[in-house]
Amino acid sequence: MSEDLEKYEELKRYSENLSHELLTPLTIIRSKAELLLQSENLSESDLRNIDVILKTVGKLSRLNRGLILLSKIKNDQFIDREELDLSEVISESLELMEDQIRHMELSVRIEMKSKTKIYSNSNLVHILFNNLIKNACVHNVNGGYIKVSLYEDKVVIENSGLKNDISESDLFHRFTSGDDRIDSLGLGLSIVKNICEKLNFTTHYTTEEDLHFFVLKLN
Amino acid sequence: MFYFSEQGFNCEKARTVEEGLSKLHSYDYDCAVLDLGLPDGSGMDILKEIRSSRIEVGVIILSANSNLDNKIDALDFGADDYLTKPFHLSELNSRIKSIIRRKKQSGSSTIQLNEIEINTDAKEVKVNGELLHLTKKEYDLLLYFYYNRNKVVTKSSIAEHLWGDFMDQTDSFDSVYSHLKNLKKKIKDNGGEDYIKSMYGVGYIFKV
Repeated sequence: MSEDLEKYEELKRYSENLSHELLTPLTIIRSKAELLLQSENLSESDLRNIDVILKTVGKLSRLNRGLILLSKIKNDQFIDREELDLSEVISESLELMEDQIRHMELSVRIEMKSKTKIYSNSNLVHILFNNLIKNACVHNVNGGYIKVSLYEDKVVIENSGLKNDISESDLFHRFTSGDDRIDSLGLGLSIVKNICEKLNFTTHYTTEEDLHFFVLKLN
Repeated sequence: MFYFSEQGFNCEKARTVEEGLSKLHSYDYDCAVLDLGLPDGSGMDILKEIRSSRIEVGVIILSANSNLDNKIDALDFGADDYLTKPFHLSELNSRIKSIIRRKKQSGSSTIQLNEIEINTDAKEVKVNGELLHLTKKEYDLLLYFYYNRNKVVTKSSIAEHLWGDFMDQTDSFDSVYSHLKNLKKKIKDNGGEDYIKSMYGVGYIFKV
């Protein structure tokens, strides 16, 4: 048992180091491709090839960043606590998505059933709601809506979207995405799940036809 | 380095803390770009020495760590800016130029570019003397293009410049396009020339 634990710890350390060691090579690939982009007389197909390299590096970078964040959460690197007003946190998350909301012509409604204050880590709570609100936006449909309801002990995020048949347990797994339209990494909800475990929140996801409901219980 | 030397910068590379410090003590530079991970120490060691010996140089820290605390530490020790790997070359370019501009500007905060005048203090833009009503994002976009003028700037670097690394690239490309369209229209409506050209959907170039 203790040998297994040791092996697990070693593997964990190894993957954390790997994520960090990848950052410099990724920077080099990106810089060199951007440099190549500046060459004179590039053909259109050259440009497109460089673009594919750059997009792939971008995807790899975001994936890597997500994994680094996940390991930081698991390693308890977010410990400070303070009083947070969730309606403020949610407004900030919505502000981040402002352009997307305007672009997709989404209507946004916040219902305050109660003042929701929690004593928690500001970084984690912000990352949590940024991810949830972002999901509610990008998996939405043009002209759709997002409704956020705040209760004393829970937050419900409701949004329009497409019908999907993804199960709740799959949803929170890494690299699962139920929406083919979006080039997403599927890491977002895995981050949500890990943050909730750390903060002692529970999440519940349900869907009815093309509506999606995320319930976050603050214990 | 080629990217910068081509724009008329004189660039020198130091591979270690020791080499970096010896260069900084011997010559005058406008800006030092410090990597935190060096074989014989950290870029922070160089930063501390720069500030304690009062060497006049702008400093940008390049770090693998996106942790906010490291960023605050670096800025507390007197770095002018902080960039997390993997960054875009055009982002580094715009930050370096903005630091050099701040250092060199003696009283004047305006950039004149043919008929376009950018006031970096008031964050205002005039075209043919007429004030443009730009949103914050449109202003940021124009300044980013200005610092990267005559270079191909990719859509993803623009997206990251405007929204940070939080947005997935593809989600934000439509928004990049709509901000850019509005900016171009406002410049054109005031008789400005259309300097921003699309490069086959890959990115844009601000040609002057």
